[in-house]
Amino acid sequence: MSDCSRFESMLESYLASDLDPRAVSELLAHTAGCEGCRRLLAIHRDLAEAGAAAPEPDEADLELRQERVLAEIRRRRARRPLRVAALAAGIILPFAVGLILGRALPGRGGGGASSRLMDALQAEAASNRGLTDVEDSPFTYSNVSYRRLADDRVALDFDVTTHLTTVESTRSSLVREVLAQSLLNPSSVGERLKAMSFAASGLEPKVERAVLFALRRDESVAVRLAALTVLVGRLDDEEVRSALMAVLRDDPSVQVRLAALESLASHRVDHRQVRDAIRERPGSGNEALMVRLAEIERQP
Amino acid sequence: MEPTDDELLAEIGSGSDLAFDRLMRRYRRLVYRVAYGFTGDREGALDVVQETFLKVHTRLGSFRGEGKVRNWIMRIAANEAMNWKRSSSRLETSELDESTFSRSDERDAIAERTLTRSLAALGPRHRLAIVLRYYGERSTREIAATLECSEGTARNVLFRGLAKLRTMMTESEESLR
Repeated sequence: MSDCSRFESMLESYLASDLDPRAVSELLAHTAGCEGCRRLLAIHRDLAEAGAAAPEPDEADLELRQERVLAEIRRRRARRPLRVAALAAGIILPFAVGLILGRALPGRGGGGASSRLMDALQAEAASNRGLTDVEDSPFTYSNVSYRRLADDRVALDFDVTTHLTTVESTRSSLVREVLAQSLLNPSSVGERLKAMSFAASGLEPKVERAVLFALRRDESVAVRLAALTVLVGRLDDEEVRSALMAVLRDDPSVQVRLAALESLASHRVDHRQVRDAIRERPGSGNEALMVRLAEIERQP
Repeated sequence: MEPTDDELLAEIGSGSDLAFDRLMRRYRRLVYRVAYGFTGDREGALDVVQETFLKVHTRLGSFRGEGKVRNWIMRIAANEAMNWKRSSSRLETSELDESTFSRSDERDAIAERTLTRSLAALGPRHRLAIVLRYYGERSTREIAATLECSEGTARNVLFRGLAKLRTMMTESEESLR
């Protein structure tokens, strides 16, 4: 295969159906005497045949799937106002009645609306298991702040239809729900970073999924770096490790890829895998990553 | 005149199911072909079509309008297809769709099976490039847009993908000898 390097770019162009006929003849003459290149072209032909032989879907099957998608969209749309209405009925109505009674009967407290709202939030948070549920929640938390207290508790401060302050166990469903939602909040980088720094102190599955989501999808480099910092202690988890490998391979920021490299390389991850992941995505930045990996490998 | 994808997106954003219906109709076959390239399973590919369009609808708000709608949908489809593969062990040889092995000659069928297995073992980026080329019948420019890279890089990813397939298939054949 001594001459192959010369034909590599021709093969690339040939596979891209972008080679002039004279060059094709030259390439084919080379492949006649070169087992490796001949094999590559055979795979190209086999794939082209496999693609052409792939079964076409029945129109009726596609139609059925499309109807299911539309039905699901309508179901979700219908569920949302109903949930909001049900919650409003449970919260605002008693609040209004309490207010009227409170005014009509001096001396009797009209409070309780906040606690009812809080109960509804707790119930909603406890029932939301996946990230889709969190995204679908009728409650949207904003202006969130967390203050760690003694005894594994947290002072949680946020706006949700009204401003609320509560003290919860750090393990409460509401804290996790607010955290997960803040991590997914597309409008505020600051809020996502704040949530990320609090998430670092204790991950449970829903929050971890939200951190992983942010690591893969967040537009902000700062948030993705913060997500890496949160997850670095969880590298024994296969899902976390493969998410970091994906970041090392695919993240558009060299800075984030370098941070992923540091974490992976310092955590007994096979350096050959790390090297392959870097090389899988040809482009600028790979050199810096390979230099850093070599430095890490030289360290005692 | 047919509305553009961007026009349809604007209508969908205003709550039009009719516009979403049209968008699905426009891309469902392409999504199916790409999904089939990943799953090698007809029913699996249909599941992926359904999940892809649900995700597309859910994430409309996050589509930043950079690049084409079609490439964005292709990326979602590829992710969904890989999720499908991860969450199922359905690509065991015994359960592969019979139509994958339509040739009667047994040696050809084994070679094809080796190819399908090796393809499934490729990294996601190489796999996506190959599936888009051979199953989705996309041009290098379209592959580059879906992978969010230059055409030169896309060409290289495709070539490297095939070279990796060659290595894996050679090893697989040698182990059978």
